[in-house]
Amino acid sequence: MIAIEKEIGLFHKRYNAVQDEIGKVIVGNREVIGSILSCLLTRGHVLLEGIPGLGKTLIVQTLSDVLNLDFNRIQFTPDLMPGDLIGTNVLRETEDGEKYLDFQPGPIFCNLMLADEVNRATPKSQSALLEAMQEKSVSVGNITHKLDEPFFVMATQNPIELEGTYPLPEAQMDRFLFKIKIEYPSSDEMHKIMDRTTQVDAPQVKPVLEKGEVLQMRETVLSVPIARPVQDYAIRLTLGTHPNAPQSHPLSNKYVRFGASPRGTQALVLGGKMQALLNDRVYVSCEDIRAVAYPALRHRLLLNFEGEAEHIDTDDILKEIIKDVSEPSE
Amino acid sequence: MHSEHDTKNRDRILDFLGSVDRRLRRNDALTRLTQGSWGFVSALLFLKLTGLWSSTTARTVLLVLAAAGIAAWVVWNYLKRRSLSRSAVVADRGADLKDALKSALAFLGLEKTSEWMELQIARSADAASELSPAEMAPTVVPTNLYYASGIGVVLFTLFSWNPGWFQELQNVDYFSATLGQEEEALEELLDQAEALAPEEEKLEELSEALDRLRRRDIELSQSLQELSEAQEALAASQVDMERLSMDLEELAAQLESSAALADLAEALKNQNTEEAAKLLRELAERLANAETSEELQALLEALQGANVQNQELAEMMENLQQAAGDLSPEDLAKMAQSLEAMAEQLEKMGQQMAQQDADQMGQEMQQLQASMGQQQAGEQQSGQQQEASGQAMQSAQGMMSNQMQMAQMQGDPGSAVPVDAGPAGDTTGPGGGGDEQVFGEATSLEVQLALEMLAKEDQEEPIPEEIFERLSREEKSTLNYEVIQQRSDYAEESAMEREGVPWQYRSLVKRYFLSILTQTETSPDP
Repeated sequence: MIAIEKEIGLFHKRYNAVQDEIGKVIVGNREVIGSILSCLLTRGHVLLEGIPGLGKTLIVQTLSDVLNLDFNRIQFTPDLMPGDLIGTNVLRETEDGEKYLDFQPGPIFCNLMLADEVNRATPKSQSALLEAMQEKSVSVGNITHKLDEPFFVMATQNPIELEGTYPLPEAQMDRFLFKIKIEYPSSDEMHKIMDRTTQVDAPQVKPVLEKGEVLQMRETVLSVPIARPVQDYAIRLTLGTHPNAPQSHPLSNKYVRFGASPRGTQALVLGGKMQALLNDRVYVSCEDIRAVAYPALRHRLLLNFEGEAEHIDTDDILKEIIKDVSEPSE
Repeated sequence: MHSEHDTKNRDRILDFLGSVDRRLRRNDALTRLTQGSWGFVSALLFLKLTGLWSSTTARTVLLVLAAAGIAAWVVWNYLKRRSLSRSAVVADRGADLKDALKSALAFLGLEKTSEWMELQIARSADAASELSPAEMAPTVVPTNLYYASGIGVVLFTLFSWNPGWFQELQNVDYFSATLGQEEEALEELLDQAEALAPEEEKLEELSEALDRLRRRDIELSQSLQELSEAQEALAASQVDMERLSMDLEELAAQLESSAALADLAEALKNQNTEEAAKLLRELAERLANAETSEELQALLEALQGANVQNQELAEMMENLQQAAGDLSPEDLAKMAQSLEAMAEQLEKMGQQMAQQDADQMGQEMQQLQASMGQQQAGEQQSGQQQEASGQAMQSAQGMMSNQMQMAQMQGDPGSAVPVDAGPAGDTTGPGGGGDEQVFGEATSLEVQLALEMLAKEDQEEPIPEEIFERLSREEKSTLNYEVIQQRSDYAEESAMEREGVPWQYRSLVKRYFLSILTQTETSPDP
């Protein structure tokens, strides 16, 4: 047990080091960075949504600088082809004149991948990410290539320039552990941003975490146990999003076409484990589950026609579900 | 296999949660006891209302059974063991432990635990050892328990209290002897009530005559004669019905407070004097059997509080109260006589009320007679009117007839036909018959107003069409327009807005068609 407490202490030390190093470049957004790290440390992927200029790409780039991992950035465009993403077989010739196919890996073969403006690529290219994100592997021809661990996709999209974009299909959305909304900075944060970015010397960060340390932190997070009543609470929250189900919420019946999948419950539990560790607990509480409910479930609710027509925000539905689903009493 | 340290932690947690659980069960028992106390109070009221309170055996058996049932229920709730999860939840909330004990308890139930779980159990055991079960689950006595107990004691005392003097009265022999005289008096009252039957028959005849007249089955003069005779027969029986009704309601309100005399109160409230007299007779019979001490006491209390305007009734009640004042044997006889007189007066009031109804019907017939007289007078002058005004009169008369019928149906004779509508006519006279119905001068204000309204309608000019057009132009749309955000995606938009002719060829195509047009205009037709 002492070893576990040491492990927890080491986890906190590394986590705070990453946060502090990123904080040298990124002003505020500590919760956003925490959520991104939660996805990284729970084997998930993250989707960042916000209007242009809020620093989505900068956050991801800074994170890649702080983590000493292979990083690739792919700008998604309408003419991006799946082969541009995952790689392709190239016809080569040996010295003897014998021809053969050689696989040329694409930019997806890395540890950290930034898929910038992911909704600008065609569904065909977007779908190329599906297998990579879930199975951590890429199939080209008859050969399946395993991706290196950790493999972490950070995708960005902005919600206003929708012309010329292809909204992510539901199956693709479901593969992101969290969907994080980036809000405007406050007045004080704006002052700090100006101070840091309008001078000669731009702040620099150095790598503070190696690949092995990241994997060790992952193991620590996944070791946190969750009691059956708390897990039951997470399941009831997920079932509350299902329309026309025994435990569905009235708002779900009215506005939701499809609720969250079991991946949603997984996201709740995994995010809850990360939250528990950050709160220096060795078990998951209902409070931890609630803390990650919005980023874990908001993109898994598919609104019906009525919900779309009334411009219902899934966060509003989740707010009511969280309010009405009671904690286990016995 | 759990180590000794783990077992110790487990015991610490379970002991703490067990202690909290006992306190929670105690609070539950107090809550159940509160509910049971209210049930006991309800049982007391039930016994009193159903009259079972007077029976000592039934009262004792029922109260003992109720108390035993409540006690068994409370004990069963206290002994019924529940899961310790509830205690864990209560302790987590009380000490803000963020589900620590709940999780630890869940981990304790697993067959195989990890080191992380053991660490959590150890941390929870340390937290539990620092907590006090009394603070986590303090004993809470519901406030309602005090109220229920107090009300129960007060009700029990009130219901059990029985003054000695009343007990003695119930054992006096001559009390039943005086009641024998009272029974005879009540019989006489009933005979008088039966004597009212001819009056009721008269009323029925009047009602039938009225219906026949409405159906025009009899002549008006014949019905008027019948009505005059009925009116004379009923004219002498004018009473102040309002005062009688108030007196009966006053008595009913006073008697309602007594459960034993609830039926009598109900009968008086409904002004059913026959039923009230019958109940008084039953009271007298029970007095003969010396079973009515409570009812008699309640009746006296009610009479003391009643404020009766009817002079005769008030005198009888005063005699009754005086007789009941000291309850000596002589006064008891006086009291019985007063009771008899009271029943007689009730019967008399019933007769007066029936007569008043008949008189009211007679007044209604008088008004109907006046109306028919007006109709007859109108028929005599019908030949002098033009056809247009005759139609107007017909409409107005129709309105009058409707108003009259509605007023009669609503029992408001005053509003049916104006009293100063003119002399009654005779439909049997010359000029009164004929198939064509023509009317004369207006005989009432309503008819005159209706004629003026019809004449004004004929004189009004039609509304110019300009006004209609202007109103039509000014009319606004009632549709609520809303800006609906375009939700179609790029592919849909591009498909919908696709230009058939490429942009770079548009000028070329345009020139081509223009040249064809020019050639067509210049060349002669083949």
